[in-house]
This record gives sequence, structure tokens and C-alpha cells, in this order.
Amino acid sequence: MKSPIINISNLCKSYGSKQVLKGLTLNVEEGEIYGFLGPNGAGKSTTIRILIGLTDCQVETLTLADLSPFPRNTEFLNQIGVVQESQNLYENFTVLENLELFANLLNLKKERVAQVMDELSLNGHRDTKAKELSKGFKQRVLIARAFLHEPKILFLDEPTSGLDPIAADKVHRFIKELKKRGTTIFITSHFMEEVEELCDRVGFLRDGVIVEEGVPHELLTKYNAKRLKDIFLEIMGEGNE
Amino acid sequence: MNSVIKTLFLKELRDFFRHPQSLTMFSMVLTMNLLLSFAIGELFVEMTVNMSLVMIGFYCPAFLTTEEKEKKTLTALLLTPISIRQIILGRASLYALVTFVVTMGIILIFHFKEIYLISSVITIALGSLFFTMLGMGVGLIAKKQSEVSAIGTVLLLFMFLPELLYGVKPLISKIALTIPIHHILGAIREPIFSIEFLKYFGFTLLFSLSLFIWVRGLASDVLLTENNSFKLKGRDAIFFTSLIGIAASSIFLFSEPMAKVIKIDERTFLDFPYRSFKIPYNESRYEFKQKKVLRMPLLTYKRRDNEKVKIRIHLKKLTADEDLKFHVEKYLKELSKDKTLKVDSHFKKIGQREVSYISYEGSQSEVTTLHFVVKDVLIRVDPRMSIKNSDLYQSLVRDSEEIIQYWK
Ligand SMILES: Nc1ncnc2c1ncn2[C@@H]1O[C@H](COP(=O)(O)OP(=O)(O)O)[C@@H](O)[C@H]1O
Ligand SMILES: [Mg+2]
Repeated sequence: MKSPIINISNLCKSYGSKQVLKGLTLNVEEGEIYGFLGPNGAGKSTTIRILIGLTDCQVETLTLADLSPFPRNTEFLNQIGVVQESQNLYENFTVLENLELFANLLNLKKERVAQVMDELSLNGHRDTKAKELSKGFKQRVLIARAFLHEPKILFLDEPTSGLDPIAADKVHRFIKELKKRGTTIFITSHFMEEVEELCDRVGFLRDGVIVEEGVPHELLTKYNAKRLKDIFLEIMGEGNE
Repeated sequence: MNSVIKTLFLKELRDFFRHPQSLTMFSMVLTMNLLLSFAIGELFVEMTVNMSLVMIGFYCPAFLTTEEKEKKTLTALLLTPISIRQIILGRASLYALVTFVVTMGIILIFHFKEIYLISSVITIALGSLFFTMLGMGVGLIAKKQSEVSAIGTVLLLFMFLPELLYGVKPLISKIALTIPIHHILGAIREPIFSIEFLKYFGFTLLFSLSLFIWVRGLASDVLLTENNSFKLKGRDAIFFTSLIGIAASSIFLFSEPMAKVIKIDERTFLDFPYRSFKIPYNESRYEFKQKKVLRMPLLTYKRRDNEKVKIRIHLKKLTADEDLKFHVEKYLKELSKDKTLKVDSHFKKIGQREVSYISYEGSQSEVTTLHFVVKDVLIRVDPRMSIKNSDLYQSLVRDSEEIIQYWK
């Protein structure tokens, strides 16, 4: 059997005396969309920051596409694309300038920018400065930026939070398109409808570990639930009364 | 140039013209210098050069670096396969260049006569990079832009006040000697390959190298730390120790030694080996005080029997195209602004020396100022007293003439 593209075992992370991750173990297969679910403050973003090499941690095994994120290395960075929570575009730059900057840093051809802008229908605001864009549009630019170099693994941290349904739908469609091309996608979200629609597998993060994991429709059967939201409430609600 | 650095350089250049803070700093330096030059006429190089080095060289990269931390665009850069060295150099290269161009422009427009061109080009290039890297360092440490403003304001004052007040108090002079701006401003006023230039430039280089090494380490550390936050480390201790070491050796090397009292042929002299001058000194009648103002000595002979009676001696280095006449005319022009003064001026020989006498009726009594030149130094001897006593003043002028006569 092929080894998982994301392979984490026994991941621990503390801030001061506060333990955020307490031995997280998680595997993602190549080509999957993995939904990483949990309430606010569960440690989802922290996990992503560790997986992309921005935050240190204690861990037994941590490899992505058979590479370690630590220490920071080019080979690893070439395999990943990331959309973080903060919409970190260069605000004074236009959409095109933002994408061109990163295409140049990634040593890509000029045509690649035009191609990605087409795919995400960004051409309408090609020359609009990032600070004048709507949240939804920014999010599409960020996804475009993360996908410029066609990474094997794409991390999306709450890609649709704060977006209206139309903008969110555009993002969903692109995620599905990327999956068709074989990209592995690691996505965090609060929206269970979105997760049901997109994810091949989901993991519920609570108290620093995965407390439940599986294929959405199998979980629905297991919990005898109609919607993933009910399962989320059941798992996360326990002990939180 | 490395293509990544070129990309980042162009990014910074584009941002420079769109970023309110960069533009504000840039236009502030230009308008302040222009305004001041109209208002005052003569600008102190201490102020103009300092302003552009700190306000453009330091502020802009500091602000932008902190902003990129706050807005997390720096994280986006870190997720591309470029090196931290390239991130630093991309920004530093543009701001060092802008700072260099603006500073050199200011020097060429306002201070061309006071400086040596090649010395200035080399020193200002290094100085611009120094301040840019300092800005990057502070930008990496600061959590918020408001912190950068605070540090920048203190830095601006700290950089130019001691230099401007040089000589007012011994402690201030000592402090001024520890600040790189002193060496930068020193180096641009010395001909290249002169010992003095090499000394000043050498210290600028020492400061710069230790700063660059520190920023390099700091950047790797801060950029690879959670949320790009700064933690004090051994590296910082080494840096500050090296700064203190360099500063201490600068005080040791650049402090102007006090004049020594020596005797030649029964006559007492003050010896300034550092400047190769010997000045006659009537020890029984006067008490001697030595200060330095704007890098040149200011000597005072105070009458022992009367505090209010003294002779002031200012020294000023002449540039290539200046001579005694030039300065006498300049001084007369100054005086002619006050229409109530009746100014009298003539030249007279004292020994072999051509001396200019400029006299006018002051509020207390007649005032006479004597100018003469020894080698490339203009010396102004100023008998001064704040009491009215014509005879006493005449004897003071005679003592001044004696000083000029025996000046070696
Ligand atoms: N840099 C940090 N310093 C201290 N605590 C942090 C830091 N980053 C995150 N945390 C804490 O870790 C926990 C998990 O945060 P996060 O990963 O952002 O959660 P999520 O993304 O699931 O909402 C939170 O309680 C948060 O307060
Ligand atoms: Mg989060």
C-alpha cells in the first residue's frame, strides 16, 4: 500500500502551560479532500501552521509527500500551497501584480498567471488593488496564489468563512476542480454543509486529539444522524455543557 | 543581480510609490530641507544628512517590515522557496539606494563645499545601508508600527542631538563619538586615503559589519519563529557587547586630547599636537578652557582677575576655494544686516601675518574681531567683555595681537 501523503503521529504543541495538541495522529491519502473539523480555538490553524513548517512542535513522525517541513527547505515548500486565515495579499498591489510577484518568486512562466486568473475568473478585477476587493474575491486571489506552482498538497484554512453563498460556491467549485486534477486538499471549516459536499474524509479535533474520523456518509450511518452538523454537535457538545 | 532579489527590489519600488508612509517620509525630508534652507540659509550637515539617513533609511524599511509582520504577507513570502537572505536584501537594496540618492542629493545641493566627493559617495553608500539594515532590525523586533515610530523618534534625536551639541559638555562629546553618524559625517569631510578618512570610515565599517551580522541572525530567528515574534538571545548580547566595544574604542581614538602647556624660549605655549598648533599662553593673566563646536576647537582665555573679560578663539577649516578675504566679506555682510552698526574694517600686518580687523560700536563698547589664516585654518580671535571699560578692552586687543604674533 502507498504511504499516506500527510503522515502525522503523536503531534504535541503547547503555548506556555496550555497544551493545544496532545498527541494528534492523522493520515491523509494522496488525492483526498480531508476536512479538519473542530470548534474555534481547537487548534486547527495551529496544526496547519505546524504542517507547513511555520511553527515548531514535538512530534514522532511528520512527513508530507515524504518530506519534512523542518528545517525550512525549498524541496518541501515546492510541494505545498497555503491559504491562511489572514487574507494576506499585498493591499497596495493589483490582483495581477500580486500574482505576478509570487509567480516570479516561484520562478514560473508569465503564462501561468494568465492561466490561473482564467481558471478562477479573476480577469474582471485584474487591475483592481487588493484593498478594494470584496472578501470573496480576495479569497479567490489567495487560492490562485497558493495554486500557482501546482503544489501536490493544498492547505485551506477556513476558505469560505465570511463569504456569501455565491462566493463560497465559486470556491467550492474550484476545490472540486483541483481534486479532479489529483491535488490533495487539507481543509478546515465550521460549515458542515460545505464539509459534507466536499470532503472525502473528515476528522473531528477535540481536546488536542482526533476523537472521530471517517467518510461522511459512513459517519451519518454510524451516528444515525441526518446531517454532519448533528454529529459535530454531539461530539463537541459532550462535556461542554 | 539574483533574479529573486531583483523581483523583491521591484516589488519594493512599486510599493514605495503607493505606500503612504514611505511617501510621507520622503516628502518630509525634501520639504524640511528646502524650507530650512530658505529660512536659515546655511544648513548644518549634521541635521540634513541625519534627517535623510534616519527618516528614509531607517523609518521606511522598519515600518514596512513591521507592517508585513502584522499583515502576515511576510508569511506568504516565507512559504515560497526563497531564502531569508533574499528577503532581507530585496528590501534593503531598494531603501539603501533611495537613501543614498536622497542623501547625496542633499549633500551636493547644500553642502558641496564642505565635503569631499569620493569620500562622500563611499561613506554615504555604506551609511545608507547601515541605516536601512538598522531599520530592518528594528522592524523585525517591533510588534506594531507604533513601536517603530517611538523607537524612530528617539533614534532621530539620539543620532543628531549629540552631534549638533558636540563640545557643549564633555559628556555630550563623548556620547557623540559613540554614534555612527559621527563617523559618517567625519569621513565625508576628509579627503579619501587620508588617515582621518580611513579612521572615520573604518569605524563606520565596523559598526556596519556587526549590525549586518546581527540582523542576519535576527532575521532567520524572527522569521522562523511563531508569529514572527522576537525573543532576546545570546546573539543580541554579542551584538550589544560588540557595539559597546566599538563605541569605547571610538571614544579612545577620537577624543581630542587636551592641550599641553609647554615652554619654548622662556615663553609659555599651549601645544595641540593633534592639530599641530602652538598658541602662546600668558598663564599668570589668563585661564584656558578648551571646547569643540561643530568639530572645530573653541578656545577661551579667561582673565584671572575678571570673569567677564575673555578672548575667544574659533578655528574653522577652509575649503579649497575659500580664503581670508572670502570670510571677512561674509562676516561683514552678516554685520551689515544690522543697519544701526557702524562697521569699520581694515587689514594690518602682525609680524608676517595678514590680519583683518573688523570693528563696530557694540552696546557696551567698541568691539573688534581679528581674523587670520594659518595653513588651511581660519582663526577668529574675539576679545569679549560684558563690562564697559575702554582701556581694559584695548589691553585685551593687545593680548589678542600677541597671541596672533606668536601663534605657531
Ligand atoms: N502564538 C500563540 N501564542 C499563544 N497561544 C496561541 C498562539 N496561537 C494560538 N494559540 C492558542 O492555541 C489555541 C488554538 O488556536 P488555533 O489553532 O488558532 O485554533 P482554531 O484555528 O482551531 O480556531 C487557541 O486557544 C489559541 O488561543
Ligand atoms: Mg483557525
